[in-house]
Order: sequence, then structure tokens, then C-alpha cells
Amino acid sequence: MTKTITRLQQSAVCMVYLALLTAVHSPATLCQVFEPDDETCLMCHEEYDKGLAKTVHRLSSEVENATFRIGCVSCHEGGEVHADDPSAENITNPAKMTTTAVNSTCTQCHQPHTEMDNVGFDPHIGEDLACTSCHSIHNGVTALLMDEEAQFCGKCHVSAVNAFKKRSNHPLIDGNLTCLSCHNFTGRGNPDYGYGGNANCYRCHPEQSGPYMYEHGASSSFTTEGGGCTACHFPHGSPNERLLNQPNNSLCRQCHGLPPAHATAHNGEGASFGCLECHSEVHGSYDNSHLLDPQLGIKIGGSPGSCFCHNVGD
Amino acid sequence: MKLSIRFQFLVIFILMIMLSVGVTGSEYDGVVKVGFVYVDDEGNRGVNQSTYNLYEGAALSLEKFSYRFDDGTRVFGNFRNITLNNRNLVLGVTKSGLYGLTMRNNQYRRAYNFQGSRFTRRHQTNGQFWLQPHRYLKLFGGYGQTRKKGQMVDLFEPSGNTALTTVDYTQKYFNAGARLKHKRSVAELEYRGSDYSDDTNDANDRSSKRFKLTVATPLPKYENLLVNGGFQRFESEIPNQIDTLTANTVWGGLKFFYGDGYSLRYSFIFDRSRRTGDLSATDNISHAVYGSKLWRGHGGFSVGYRYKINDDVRDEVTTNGYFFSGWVNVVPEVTLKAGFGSEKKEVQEGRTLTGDEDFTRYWASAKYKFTLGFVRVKLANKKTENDDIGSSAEFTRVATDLSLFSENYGQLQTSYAYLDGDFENSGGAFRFREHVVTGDLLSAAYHNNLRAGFGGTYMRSKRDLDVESFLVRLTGVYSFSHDYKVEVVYSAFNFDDLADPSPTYSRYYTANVVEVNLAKEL
Repeated sequence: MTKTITRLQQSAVCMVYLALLTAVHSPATLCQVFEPDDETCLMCHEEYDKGLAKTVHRLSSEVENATFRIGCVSCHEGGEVHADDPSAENITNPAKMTTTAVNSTCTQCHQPHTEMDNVGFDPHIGEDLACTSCHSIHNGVTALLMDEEAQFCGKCHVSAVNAFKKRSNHPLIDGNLTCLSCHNFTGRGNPDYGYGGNANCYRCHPEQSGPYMYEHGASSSFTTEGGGCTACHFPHGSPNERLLNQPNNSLCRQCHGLPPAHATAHNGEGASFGCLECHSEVHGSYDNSHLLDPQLGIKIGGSPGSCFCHNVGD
Repeated sequence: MKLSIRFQFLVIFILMIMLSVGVTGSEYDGVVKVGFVYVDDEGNRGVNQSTYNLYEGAALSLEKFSYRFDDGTRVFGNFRNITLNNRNLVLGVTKSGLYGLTMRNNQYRRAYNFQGSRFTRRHQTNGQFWLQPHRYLKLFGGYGQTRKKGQMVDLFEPSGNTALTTVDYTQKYFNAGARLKHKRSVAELEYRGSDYSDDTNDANDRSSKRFKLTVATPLPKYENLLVNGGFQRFESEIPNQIDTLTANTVWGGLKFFYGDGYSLRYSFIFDRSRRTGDLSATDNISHAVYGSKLWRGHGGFSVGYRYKINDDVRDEVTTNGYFFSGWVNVVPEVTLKAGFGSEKKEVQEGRTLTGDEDFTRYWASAKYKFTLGFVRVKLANKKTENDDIGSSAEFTRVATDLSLFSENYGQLQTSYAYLDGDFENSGGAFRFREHVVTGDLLSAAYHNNLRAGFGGTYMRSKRDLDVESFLVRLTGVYSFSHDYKVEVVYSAFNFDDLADPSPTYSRYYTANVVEVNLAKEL
């Protein structure tokens, strides 16, 4: 009872906290006036508008009824001086600036995802990455990313890329998915990378999503302390079948010892079976708390009744 | 669905006409490829995943296509292997600050038996849109469908047993939401739903609903203090079983940027899940706090602590975790990084299958950057111990990678990783080792318009299986007449289980694949 009250109190505090958040907001931004204008810049920097034209940063001077204003000097500061004395020192170039300076430039208009999207720890912050580590301003594709397939992730995450070359793997190299298919680290309010991660998997693998009358504790991150799908599967790639962490019975023995009855049952053969030969409903079962194969009797003895030690209807 | 040869040639014919009339305006971008894929393979088609989704036949692709209108509207597309069953299609239209629509379609085959005749194929089609009627308001939504059909062989079937499971289901999913954004403040409301229909057994049909509200903002007059939070209600229902899982989750946090690179973060998660008919619920609660210091361009470190509670009707488990990571640029060319994490999970009430658990992880890396690229060495170790059940697992991984790029000579990317694992449990103990070598070399300098490349991957894994696989790839590109290229790629795949106990169920596979393409840049 005491525990229940504590939880209710925590819930109430959380709700009040959320209500307070919705009550606050910040003042509006103002439109900029560009000096010098884009035409002046393009007199010397020919063709620089061509790459931008394919991006969200298309110069507003080249767009009919532009919905917002973007000019060369939006990102390159010092244009007026540079126009009179066109040396590189007189104007900023984000490609050659420090991480802090680059990010400050971008966050004039864009909200940095490192600030608000992850409640927990974002390792990208600690790596001192600039926005331009992943985004290409003049030649980017969707969301100005360096490439649609998010291959830029592989520049740092080399071991993850190698995992996709293992025996069983997710079809990243085939082009059916990209890193961003699962790692939506900019997703608004994603509370934790791991928590609720199963939702990522269920989108393509709904047959294992449950809910089941009898859940396998390890595979459900909602109702138990289990780690979810990744408790048994390496999502990138594995030398084992079906992305499994461990081969054969070693997979189950990550958590389960060999129950004593198995060592003596069937003249000792019970210990030599593959666990999943009987416990086939490993993701969860509608029939049986031991996750047994509903057809176990037929499978082993030829008829449902011949497997009398195992109460399949349990 | 396999397209007929006649249809394939028709598509190619139309494309050639398009090319001949000269779609060469400056508003276009993209590469058109017309070619053929030859596949010659033998052995067990069910063991080598890299070739599951490979098809022989005439291939037509339009890659990285982009067309822009004067008003800023951009149409883009990426259509790979339109005429083959491994086609991968993306089509979109967008205008900055106004709207965007992207549609995708692809399919993937997974083979299960020696002949490759038993397989499943997953079709995925989806579309996403966004609309910005006002600079502060963005509406978004989407619809998608995943369909999987075929026959699969159950995992760990007794040797020789080829019992099949028929798979035939469709999942439809959809979402819609709105986002209000003003400077650094955001509020977002989203609904997601899905319907799963199993054509082999109606009892498995299910549906889910998810409502999510997220809010984040800096506090007025305290711009360095950011707060965020959210609420989510999730329901997953199996109508035929009269069973529903409901989960309510609340989360929130704050981030305080003190200045001089100091920052402090705190977050909490409270989740309560309940099943139909359950008298009690499962609670998941988490509190985490992190402190960081960053010396821009020189180094930084983070220290964190996390406390979690999992409490259900049978047991209560608490977890205390500590984390530390740091990096330093010794000189501008050399970066050293290291980290350590430890979690101790304790069963406070009741009993769980795994009992108490100790988990530790540490890693370190050194990276040297130079004009042509970088070289990096990394060491990582993970250890999990469950004393109550006499189980422990320890992985150690040593890896190195090298990346070189020269405008004159080309680019080289190569890596080597060694993994060593030790397991102990009540069933015994065993050790495994794994070697993975990958490399890609592509010449940059054209010699008489000719460019060549070489690449490959080698993997050797020794667990209960003793698996060896490799891929060797040779590439040649000949450029002519300004925008045209002929590309030839030869790939050799090989897979072998050196501990294969059954010669009648061979786990050997080899394939030679040649792809020839005529490419034109638009």
C-alpha cells in the first residue's frame, strides 16, 4: 500500500511538471535584412547557389514567394567588410570554424537536437561533434544529411558497419534500411535509446510483438526487467542464425540453467535436445506458461496424449 | 512478382528513348543505369544472407534523381533495380518550409532451404508527408504496409527435419501529428496506430494505439536551463483473445548549461503497464543524472549515475549504474578516448530466473589523423556475471581501422576486428573466437578513362559452428563521351561451415556474380 501511494505521488509530481512546461514559451524570432545581398556574393562565388538550390537552404532571393528568408550572409558573417576587401579573413566559413562556432551558427535558426530531444545521455555531445559532421550544408540530401543512406554514420561507427557483413544481418547493405531506420536519435522526446526499443523492431516484425497471455520475460521490455529483443538478438549482424547472440542452447543458457528433470528425462536425452525443439514459442505463448510447442505431443510421440509429462494446456 | 523479359526490355527501350532525346537540362540531376546481372551459384542457398536478395536479369536504375522547379519545389527519387525483385524505390516532392511527401517501396527475400525454394518475402510500402501551414506549426503523418509471405523452416529443428511454417501476414500502420515550434520551444502531439492481420490464423490478429505528447523549452529568463517532458499511452490488443496490454509512461528532464563547458542533466521515466485481468501492474522507474565538462577542441568527460526499479507482482529488482567517459586531444592529430560503466542489478523481493547481475564494460581507443586519412585502434570489454545461476559471459574485442583518401591515387578503407568470448554456465563452459577483415580500394586516377577498384570482406567465426565466409569484389569503370560510363562489377561470395557434421545437409555455398551497367549522368 505504501508503495502504491509513493507511485501515485510520483505520477502527480510528473503531471504537474508537464503542466508547467506547457505554460511557458519564448519570444518570436525576427526576419533578417541581408547586406550585402546574394547577387553581390555570387558575382565572385559563381555557381555556389546551384548546390544550395537543391536544399532547404535555397537562397530566398531565387524563390518566388519564399516562406522564409535565407541569404549567403545568414551563415557567413562579415559580408560587408568582405565585399570591400575580399580576403578570407574578413568573412566566416563554417567549414573552417570550431565546433562551437559552427553549432552557434546553425542554432540561430535550428533547434539543436542535443538540447531537447533526448532526456538521457547523448554520447554525440561528448564527442564534440559539429552539425556539419553529419549535415552537408551546400550539397545535402533530405534533412541536409550527407547522404540518403546515412553512410556518414560509418565514419565513426566502423565496428557497427562491419557487423552488417556477418553471416546473418539486417539488410543495410542491400539498401532496405539505413542506420536511421532504427536509430532515430533526433526523435522528439525519445526517453532512452534502449527503453521501448522493441517498438523499433515491431514495425517490421509484428508477428513477434505480442502481447501474449504468457510473455517470455526476456523479450518484453514493458512488463519485466528483460532487455527486449536485444536480449537474444544482435540487431546489426551475427555469425549465428537469425541474428542470435549465442548459438543453439547457449542462447537460452544466458539466463537459464539446465533444469534437473531435463537431465534425467527420456533416459537422459532431455538434456541433449535443443531447447527450442520443445519450447518453440520463445517470443511468447497463448497456451502455455512454459512456452511449449502446442504440437509437442504430436511432434515427439505422434499424438497429443503421448506427451503426458508435459501438460501442454498448462 | 517477377517481371517478364518482354516487360523488362520495354522499360529499357523507353529509357533509351529518354536518354536519346537528351534530358540534359541543368535542372536535372541523377544517374541512369541500364545493365544485366549474371548469377552463377551452387551449394546451400539458405546459409549465405548476402545473396538471399540477389536476382539475375536485366536491371534498370535511376539513382539520385533530382529536379527543381523555379518556385523551389524539388522532386527527387532513387529507383534501384526497377526491373528486378530486389527493387528499392524512393520518390518524393518537397518545398522548403511548406510541404514534403516521400514514398518508399522495397522487398526482401530470405531463403531457408538448400535449393532456395522455401523462402519468405517481405514487402514494405510506406509514405510520409508533412505540411507547414504556418511557420510555427507543422502537421505530419503517414501510412505504411508490411506484408510477409512464404514458408520458413523453424529454428533448431532436429537434424533432417524440414518441418515448415507458413507465414502470411499484413501489418498496416499509420500516424498523424502536429508540432508547434517557436524558437527553442517545441510541443508535439502524435497518434500512431497499427493493425496486424494474420491470414494463417485469425487468432493472432492484433492492433495497437499510441498517443504521445512531448514538450521542451528553455525556461523564460533562464535560457541555459532547458526542461522537457512527455506522456505516452500505449495500448496493444488481441481482440480474439480478449487481451490488452496498456502502458502509461511519463518522462521528463532538465539540462543546465552552466557555461565554460559545464553541464548537468537529469531525467526520470515512470512507466506503469497492466494486462487485462491482471490484479496488479508492472512499474518501471528510472532516474538518471549526468555531469559533463567540455574543453572545446581539447577534451571532455562525463560522469553519470542511474537508478532503476522494476517491480511486478512476483518480484522487485533495482539497478544501480555508474558511467564515466572521457576524451582528450593530446595533440591536434591524436585523440584518445576511454570509458567505463558498471551496473549492479539486485533482486529485492521475490525471485527471478537470472538472479542478481553484475555488468561491467570498459573501452579505450586511440585515433591518429593525418593528411590522407586516419588510423584507429580500439579495445572493448564486456562482462556479465549472474552468480545465483552460476553464469558468466565475457567478450573482449580488439579492432583497428584505416582510412586513406588521395585525389591522385584513390581511396582505401580497411579494418580488422578480433573478438574473444568466454562463457560459463551450468551446462559447461566454452570459448569462441572471431576474426573479421574488411577492405575496399578504389583508384581515383583515370588512366585512359579507366578506373579500377578492389575490395572484400573475410570473416572467420569459431563457436559451436566453425564458419568461414568471404566476399571479393573487383570493379572497373570506363568513361567515354563525357557523361557515359560502362561499369563492371565482379563479386565472388563463399560460405563454409568447416565443422559441418552432415555431408547430406551441406552448409557450403559459393556464387559468382557479374553486374554490367551502362550509366549516363543526367
